Amino acid sequence: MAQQKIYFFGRLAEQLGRSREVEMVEEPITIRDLRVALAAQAVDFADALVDPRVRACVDGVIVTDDALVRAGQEIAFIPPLSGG
Amino acid sequence: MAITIRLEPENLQPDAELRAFITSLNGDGAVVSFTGLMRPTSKEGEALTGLFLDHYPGMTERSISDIATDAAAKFAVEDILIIHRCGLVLPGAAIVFVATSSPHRRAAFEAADYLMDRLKSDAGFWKREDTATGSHWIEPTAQDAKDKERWSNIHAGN
Repeated sequence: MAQQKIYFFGRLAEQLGRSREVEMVEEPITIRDLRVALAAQAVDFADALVDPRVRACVDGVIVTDDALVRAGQEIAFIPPLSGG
Repeated sequence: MAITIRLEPENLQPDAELRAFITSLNGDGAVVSFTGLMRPTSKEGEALTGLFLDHYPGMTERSISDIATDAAAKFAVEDILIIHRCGLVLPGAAIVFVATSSPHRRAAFEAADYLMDRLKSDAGFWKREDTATGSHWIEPTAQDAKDKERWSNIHAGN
């Protein structure tokens, strides 16, 4: 299983740290399934990642829950933007 | 036409930035600038000790650059400069500086107004208000969405 770094920003970074190493149980995987897989790996992921307002970014671009990701891509979860 | 975007982690000096922007111009007749300062109180009237702006390197710059590109397509501006603070900002300090230039004033005014409305909702930042007793993360307001909406019927060339 591939190790993958997941990044967090805003209040998620405060709750979970700036980044965490996780196991990519399968790949490619949809963001929807990745949320479930991560929630199973750590209790604090569960609360943070089921919130539908928390969006995923792949390689710096916001994606939908249907998007497929592979190990090695830059994956981040972000709360709603506050704007400037 | 030049678009310049910068994230400033330390100290944003609007006066020096404006002077440099004006010096860099080549024949424009109008410059409009906007400086946003950190207010010392929250919307609820609480005294703030600081405002922390978290950002996602690469993604945040791209979000600002997209906004500037949209402004350049809508208004007859020559140059656009956007400098945004990141990290911890103290009350009274500059958070954002926007400058636009154009041959005649109208485009520069409108582009600066547009840039600020878009930045307020679409720039890739997460803001945390700090008080003496704690802190909380803030999300975009309905007013921000309404301000952005003002521009939805304005297209390039209008």
